[in-house]
Amino acid sequence: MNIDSGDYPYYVSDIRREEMLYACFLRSHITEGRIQSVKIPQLPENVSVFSAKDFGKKNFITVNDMKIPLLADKEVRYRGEPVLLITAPSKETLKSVCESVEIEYKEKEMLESIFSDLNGKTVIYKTSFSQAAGEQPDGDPEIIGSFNTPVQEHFYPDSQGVFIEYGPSSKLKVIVSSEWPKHVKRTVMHITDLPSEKVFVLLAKSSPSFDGKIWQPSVLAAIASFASLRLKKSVKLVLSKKEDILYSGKRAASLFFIDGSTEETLKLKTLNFSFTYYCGACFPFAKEMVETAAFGARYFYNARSVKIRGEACVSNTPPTDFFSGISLPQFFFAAEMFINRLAKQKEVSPLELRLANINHAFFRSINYEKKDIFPILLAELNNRCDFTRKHAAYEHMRKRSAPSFPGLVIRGIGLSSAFQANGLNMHRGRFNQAVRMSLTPENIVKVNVASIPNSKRTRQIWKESVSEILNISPRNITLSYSFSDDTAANGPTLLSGNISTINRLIKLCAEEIRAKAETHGREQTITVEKVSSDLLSRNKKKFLYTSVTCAAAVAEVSLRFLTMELIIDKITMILDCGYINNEAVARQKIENAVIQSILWATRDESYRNLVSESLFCYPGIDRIPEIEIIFRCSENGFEKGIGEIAYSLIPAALLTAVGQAVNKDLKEMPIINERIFGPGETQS
Amino acid sequence: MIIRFKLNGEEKIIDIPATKRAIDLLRENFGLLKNKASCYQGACGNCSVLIDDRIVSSCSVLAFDLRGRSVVTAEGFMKTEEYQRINHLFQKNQYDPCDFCRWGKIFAIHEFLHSEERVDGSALTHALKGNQCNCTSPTLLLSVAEQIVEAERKMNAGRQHERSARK
Repeated sequence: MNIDSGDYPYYVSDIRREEMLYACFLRSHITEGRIQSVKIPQLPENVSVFSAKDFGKKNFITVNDMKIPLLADKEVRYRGEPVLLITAPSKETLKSVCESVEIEYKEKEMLESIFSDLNGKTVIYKTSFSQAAGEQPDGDPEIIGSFNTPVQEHFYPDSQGVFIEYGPSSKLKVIVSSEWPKHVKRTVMHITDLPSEKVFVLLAKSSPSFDGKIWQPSVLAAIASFASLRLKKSVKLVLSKKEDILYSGKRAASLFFIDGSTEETLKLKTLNFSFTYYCGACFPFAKEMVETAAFGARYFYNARSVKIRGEACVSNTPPTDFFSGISLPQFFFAAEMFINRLAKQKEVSPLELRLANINHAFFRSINYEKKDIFPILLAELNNRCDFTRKHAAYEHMRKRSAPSFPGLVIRGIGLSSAFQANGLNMHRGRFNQAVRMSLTPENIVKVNVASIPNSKRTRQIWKESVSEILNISPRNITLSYSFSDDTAANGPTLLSGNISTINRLIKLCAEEIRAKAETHGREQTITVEKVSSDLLSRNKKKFLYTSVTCAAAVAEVSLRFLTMELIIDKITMILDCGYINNEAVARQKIENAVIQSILWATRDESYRNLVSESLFCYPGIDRIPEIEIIFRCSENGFEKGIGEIAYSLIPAALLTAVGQAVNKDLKEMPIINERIFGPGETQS
Repeated sequence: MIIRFKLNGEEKIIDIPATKRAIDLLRENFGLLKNKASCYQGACGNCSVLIDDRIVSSCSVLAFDLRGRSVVTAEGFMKTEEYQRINHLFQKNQYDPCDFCRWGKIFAIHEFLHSEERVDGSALTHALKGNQCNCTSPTLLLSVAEQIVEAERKMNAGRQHERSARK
């Protein structure tokens, strides 16, 4: 498969060619209903309109065995679903044609209540687990909690897009931002019926934080390629900022019910999880999502009886995509809020309750370690933030004074802990990350990686690893990023642990090559291949993941009642992410994730808020809290990944801190002013 | 509408529609792609250019407002020695902002350098707050910006001292 995954020097939005066509979608403005008629006026020269009928039986792409429609055919399933594709020689013509096309819909009747929606929900994946089979929980649960999270959108500066360059004898050059270029190629071949040698996929530059859009670049590429081939011209399809924020893939919303009880020693006796993930119109990785959450529920806390019922269902919102941490951020938000609530009820320190219940054996086993990592992390975090003292002092204040005095500044502090799983191996072989390495007698090393590196720095790290082990200059090392068709391991990088997991595989390959070269000499080319399930071979339990990063965080907030302001004073995070290739880069990545997760927890579903589009941006530097990141490297010294742990940690710590300050039982994100300062459920 | 203005030191005359934005003019008509538009609301600071040596979000300026003015884009500023010095400190600190916000941050530092503001955290934070991309660490940005301003001012003071000594 001919994929040049090197550096195409431009962003899609920067590409321009003579006689190219601009393309855009005409989207549904209703949530659900039937398309009754489409009225297209007399079209100017060189303007074309494509509907689902044009694609015929090929109006879909396949992702993980799920068929996803390209354009809505007869029915629309969510507001913003693409109905027509329009192409025109200039942006101005495109705009005027879009305004003149009329689509009539027959909207489905509105549901009477949210409960009728829940009853009619379509479950696409279900799982259940019971640890103490047959054993019933002893007595009633001491505490029950329901927690929900909204969808999340990442804030990145460049909108998604694709440029199809139409070449002689119908060759298509597909320039796209994607984490899964192989899939882009496959879908373009499927839609256009072109043979492999006529489709070239080039990876355009993608903007920072471009993440969680695993399969949508394939949809854009398929549609634009079809139009390009039909019209025999180059086509540029770039989503507007608004379209990208509103309608592209999101992190799924979730609803968790957790109940539990404890023994006198503070040990958890029972822990029951029941959760639903709302996937929007579709999500081809529902199984991975639900199983990942179930994995978290099963292993993080150690209860005598654990029961899990989890499901994913579709709803009339834009589709879900594969965001950092998959479903663990939603799970940890619920689980950590629950533990904090339990600690409050039992009047013990949340730190003490965690230490008593975190599943230390699991972390030792999955990371091959002897020491318990969480007591070390929590003790240091406690020292650094003075957590126990501050928590007790604020609790005392909370009980003594009602926060009603205008001008009063009230403080709160919250703790959370979590793990981040790396190297998903659910489909053993299917989405494995993989590395193939060969050393020629001329001392040239070729490394072929199934995943796509997300930055120049990543490529540098990978090359440095080979260079160090084989003692070969980085100049003699070439990296390519795609396996041939016959290899099962062909991405996507389902977890952003690609730097760490791939680096571990690269090191394994290099070490094996070195050993072979020492034994058999270097006269012949030595080739070695490793897949991520190889990292599991020592692990008898066969966890879904190759390693986990452990972390804990404290959020400190102040609330100003006079100005109704929530100020996040400080976020302190400590993590054991194993070996760190470059601390400066790691720190920047984590800070970025901390800020994204603060936005997820505090913004009023900004992706829907069209009143102020400036919300589509990050906050300015003056509105970013102090962020302290402490690295602790564990004894084994291999990389465990750093990218996404903040999403699992920050929301729960933040909401607990705000809840403590305001003396309210906050249980849903985002924490907007109405929830903080308005009437609500006050804690006793 | 025909306008005449200075672009990266060169006189330009161009016929443009009245509603065209400055960022579109620079990118589409002059092919200057280093400055990028992101929010089109004047909020993110990614499309910042220097107009008469002041930092301006070019998505919020109509192209005809450029008439008679001097515009410096990323391409023009890259040729200056000041850029080389700024870039050197970026690299030294492993600070590598993305292609979108890079120029907004550099121009904000440039403007601060030529202001009378004292170098303290809050003044610098204020100067940099118009740039809302967070591809890299905000803490590191502040620290690098402080280093740049200190170094530049020291250099300028040295030059002034030399000049007065010669006199």
